[in-house]
Amino acid sequence: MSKALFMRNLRAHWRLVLIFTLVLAMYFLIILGMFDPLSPDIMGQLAAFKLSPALLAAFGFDTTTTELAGFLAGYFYGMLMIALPLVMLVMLGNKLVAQTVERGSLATVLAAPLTRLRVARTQALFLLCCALLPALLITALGLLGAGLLFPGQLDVPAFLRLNAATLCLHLFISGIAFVFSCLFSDTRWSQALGAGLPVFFLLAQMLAKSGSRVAWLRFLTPYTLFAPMDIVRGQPQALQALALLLGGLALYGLGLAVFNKKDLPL
Amino acid sequence: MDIELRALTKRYGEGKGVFDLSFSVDAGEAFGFIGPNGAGKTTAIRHLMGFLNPDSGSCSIRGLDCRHQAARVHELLGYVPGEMAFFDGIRGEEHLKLCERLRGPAPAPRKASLLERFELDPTGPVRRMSKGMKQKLGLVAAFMHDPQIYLLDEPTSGLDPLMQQRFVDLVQEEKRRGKTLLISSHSFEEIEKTCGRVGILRRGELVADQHIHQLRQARRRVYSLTFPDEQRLHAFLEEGYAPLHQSSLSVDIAVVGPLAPFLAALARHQVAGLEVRTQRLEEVFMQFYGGAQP
Repeated sequence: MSKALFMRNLRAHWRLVLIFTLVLAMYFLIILGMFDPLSPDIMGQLAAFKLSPALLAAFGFDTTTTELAGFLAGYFYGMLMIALPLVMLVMLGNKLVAQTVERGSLATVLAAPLTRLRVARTQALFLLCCALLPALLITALGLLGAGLLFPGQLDVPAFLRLNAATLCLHLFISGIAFVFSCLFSDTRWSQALGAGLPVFFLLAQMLAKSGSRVAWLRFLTPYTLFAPMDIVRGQPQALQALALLLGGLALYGLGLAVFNKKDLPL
Repeated sequence: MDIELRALTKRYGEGKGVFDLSFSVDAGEAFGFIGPNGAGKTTAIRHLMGFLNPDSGSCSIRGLDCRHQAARVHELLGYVPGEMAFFDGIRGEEHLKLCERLRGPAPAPRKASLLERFELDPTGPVRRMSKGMKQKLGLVAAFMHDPQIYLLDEPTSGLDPLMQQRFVDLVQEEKRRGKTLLISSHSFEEIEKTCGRVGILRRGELVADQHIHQLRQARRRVYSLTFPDEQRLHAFLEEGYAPLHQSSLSVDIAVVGPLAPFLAALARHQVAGLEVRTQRLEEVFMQFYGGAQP
């Protein structure tokens, strides 16, 4: 790990990370504020807006519980907590490796007496930190916010399980972005696959959840391994989270190996 | 031997790449690497930096393999890439500081004297700098650590003639201090001023590896002479010089080898004007390699 390069990344990308985390935190607090333990019939309220249950399901609004952790799992972890970090991570993944190679700016670092692997590990570590950030931030914010606004109403172990699984999911998605960023020296390809694939996975999951005719799509997307309502209800989801975690780490490892071997046009 | 390429081959298809490239540069030597665009100069230098994997063959610097011991090789090197690129939003002084964080601090007086030599003010964002300023920043970053060996890929691109001269002076100083340099260029004149030995690259193959004075001797120089009237022009031509090109009052004469007889002939006649026609690299190639396109 090179501290100089890590700090350079931080200076280049802190605005992007800050904006995404602020927007995420804002949405979280809005949704948390919407929780009304006395009026559990949220589904009925939404139906009043004439939204079809299939459309609601596609966007992850899955509400069959009146408990706070379940409420958050349905309204926040179904879409926002997936989509916002996804955009941030695929953007960063592309910028950290492929874009610096394509533009040639990484030459400054790679011409210095650092091994290539050390350079790649620094970029991996930076992306990894950014992948951990949303889940850690929302965990802290959730515990704090619920403690202040709705004391005693948050199922803390369920909420922690939920965030741990989210963390594994983000790690996996950032791994996809990282591996394609390492593979391609051309950002067109790095973006097409590093961002295109996660977005395709998300769309596939939305379609799979919205109707039974395309339910088979669930076998094509790793988002199937992340089922927030099941996690909160205490159904066994540890293996799925573990699969995402190990898969994510394997993708990072693959990215490092590829970068160490490839031709660099610098 | 400081730099060595052994049968280095890298094929990019369509005749691009380098093929069976072998040469070496001794310690304290300045080797000029010339060839037209696309001849493979940058490809060869990227192999020396350990950025590319050869299809076959290998290259080493001070006996260390350029690809597999790149980090140790880089401790010895100052590198100027063919196209300078900087991190987004970085400022000039931050770039130099980043280089120092990565390589260790550069001697402050050397850094200051380089900035002064190139009249470079490194404050301010790099994106607002002209191409010439970026090039100067790259040169300062490569030279300030006082490395043993320099790999410079078209180091004067974007520099004005005054700064090109400053660069030539700097290279000559480094040479006197025993440094080893590999400089690529598409300009014969520039290499002539800085290097003791020249390799000419054409379509990825080394077609000549000669000392600069050998090339100078073999090289044809073209002079454009103007005479006050046609009689004097014809009188001069009777000296036995065949004109390459002739108009009413001026002729182009090609001279190969020593200049003394030609200068003596000029002195015997009344010449109104004398101009040196600089040859493009293509013309130099045409002369050396008989008509084949470079």
